[in-house]
Amino acid sequence: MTDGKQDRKKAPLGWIALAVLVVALGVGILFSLGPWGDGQEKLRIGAILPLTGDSASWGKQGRWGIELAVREVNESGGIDGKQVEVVYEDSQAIPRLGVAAFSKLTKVDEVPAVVGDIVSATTLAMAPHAEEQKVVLMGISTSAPAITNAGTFTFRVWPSDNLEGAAAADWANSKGYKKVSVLHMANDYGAGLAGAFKSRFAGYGGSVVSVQSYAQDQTDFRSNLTRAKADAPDVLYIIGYYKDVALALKQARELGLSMVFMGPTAVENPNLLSIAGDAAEGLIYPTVVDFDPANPTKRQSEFIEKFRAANGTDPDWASSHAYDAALVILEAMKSGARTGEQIRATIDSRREFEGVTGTIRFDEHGDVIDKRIIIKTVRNGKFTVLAGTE
Amino acid sequence: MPVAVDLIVAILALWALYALLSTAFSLSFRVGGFFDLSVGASFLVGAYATWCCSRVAPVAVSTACGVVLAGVLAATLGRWLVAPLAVRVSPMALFVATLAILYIGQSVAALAFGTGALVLQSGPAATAEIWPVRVTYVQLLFGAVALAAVVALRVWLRSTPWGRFACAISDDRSLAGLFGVPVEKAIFRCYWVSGILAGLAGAYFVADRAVDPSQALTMLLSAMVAAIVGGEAILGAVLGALVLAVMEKTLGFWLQGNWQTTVTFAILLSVLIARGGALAQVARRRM
Repeated sequence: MTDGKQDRKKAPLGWIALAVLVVALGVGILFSLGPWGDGQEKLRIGAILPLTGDSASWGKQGRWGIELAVREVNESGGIDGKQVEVVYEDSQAIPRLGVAAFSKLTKVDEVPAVVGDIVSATTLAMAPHAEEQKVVLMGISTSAPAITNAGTFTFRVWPSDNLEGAAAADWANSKGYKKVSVLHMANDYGAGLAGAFKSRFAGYGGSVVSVQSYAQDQTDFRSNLTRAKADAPDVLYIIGYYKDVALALKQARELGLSMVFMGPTAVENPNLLSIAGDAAEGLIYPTVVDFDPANPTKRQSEFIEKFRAANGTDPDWASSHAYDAALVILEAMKSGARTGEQIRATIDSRREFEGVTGTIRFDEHGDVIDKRIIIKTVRNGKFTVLAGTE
Repeated sequence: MPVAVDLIVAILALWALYALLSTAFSLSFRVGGFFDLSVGASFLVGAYATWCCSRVAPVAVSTACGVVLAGVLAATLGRWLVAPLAVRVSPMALFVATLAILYIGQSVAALAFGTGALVLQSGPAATAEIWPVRVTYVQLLFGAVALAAVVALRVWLRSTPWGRFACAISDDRSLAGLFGVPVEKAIFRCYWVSGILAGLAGAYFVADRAVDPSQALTMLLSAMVAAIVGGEAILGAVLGALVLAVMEKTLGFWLQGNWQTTVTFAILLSVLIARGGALAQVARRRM
């Protein structure tokens, strides 16, 4: 009897708690959907970035770059008198989350264009939806070769890995290396870059003695590195994000591997050095030369100053390319384009834009072309240009 | 020859990590009777607390702090949250509750430390080399600690009153209570021990690799598999950890990234289906 009375007392409390939860949820949904604010009509675009997760440092830089581009437009009066607003969503660099974010941006926020993602796998997952929804998708640093044929609504301001892979192969060949082992992340980015490198290097008569892949959340590379040790290559090319490459370098040194190590552009992140320490010394990697804070153009100097004032830190390749990705869309909207189809048509017809990374020239597939690659290295704990490769 | 030796060292290093976490999970499972994912939260506390303390204290002291804090968390959660829930809800609901604890732990870690990877020490660890063996001092130390911990646990379970109480509870909780075993106090002590073991695994992880909030679930899943393959007994968890370490490292040598996981779990599934106590016969179904 006592238990029954206690149960009856608990029941109203449970219903009250549930009601509070439902109301709170409803209010939250309304705030996220409703046109709250000053009541002025705004032009909206979307941005999908890895704001949390392993790639969050790039996502943060990317967000700052987009914010700067939009702020500049808004401070000069907006587009046709309307302010531009960006709706940000977090992909965590995970394809299924990127797709969910894209769906929310296009169906709920009804944006005509989305800037993103930083990583190829997410952009590739979103591309079919961009095609179906007729929404422009502007990749920031999405380099997988497969993006070239991802659809007519997908563009990117970063060159295909075919360029980076070829540059890596060219450098290895120029140094007389004949045997290379490749260890790549098991996703579109890793496989694409590995494939581009392999085909170019084979063209020189070089031999890729082994190609291994690793799972994206892997932290112990010892069995892969032991295999590489057994293959005894001249070069070990590790293709992954900065955390994976840093851990692989650390463990490689612990295992006593002493061959030349190469990495992709994605290694250029201070966290690589804080994880790998001395193990990163001598790491070779190619990178697109369109933005170098050490040698800025006049326009880049202005960009760097504004970025520094707004964010208290210097921009990098992620923020400069995110800025340009947003800039292309905003330029198209300044020409009067409002829908995804109109924005696409404007970009396709104009083909050339001037950004902080220089001239952004698109080909018929939406790929940026005419970009130059240089080779950099880690020397004395800093990322520096390798002499003779400028 | 050196390649085979490197592989063996890698297997043993991974075995130490899995053995710590799988015995932590197995102990919690045996006394609690449900899949306790809050062990993952203790793993995270061990890793992050060790990292935090290492900013101001020597590594040995910071590891001890991390491990103790992990034990405190496990005991606190066990006493005040999990044990009270255990008498009111089903094992499935308890599993979900501990999953919530794990996710909360991950979120707190992400808010406090960010989502990037943290290492105890930048750069490669110092290595000891006696040809053809090459092993880091971190691996040597934690390998010895893991071995000592597993032996100590077995001695505790077999030879101490509280350990024997824990064995009795794992066999039959109601009967143990009828025979005068202080069930709640014994379970509380088991949570302590489980937390310490998980904290040790976390400290090892941050010392040998790099920790981020998402790693807890990944490592815990492997530990659960090791514990189940081993037949859920403590010794079985250690054997299961060895089986898993051997499979991961040898398959990792031959197979591509995503295939490793597929083949590993396919083999494990086959072992479970055909089990009939294959490994459980080696480690009898008692602690």
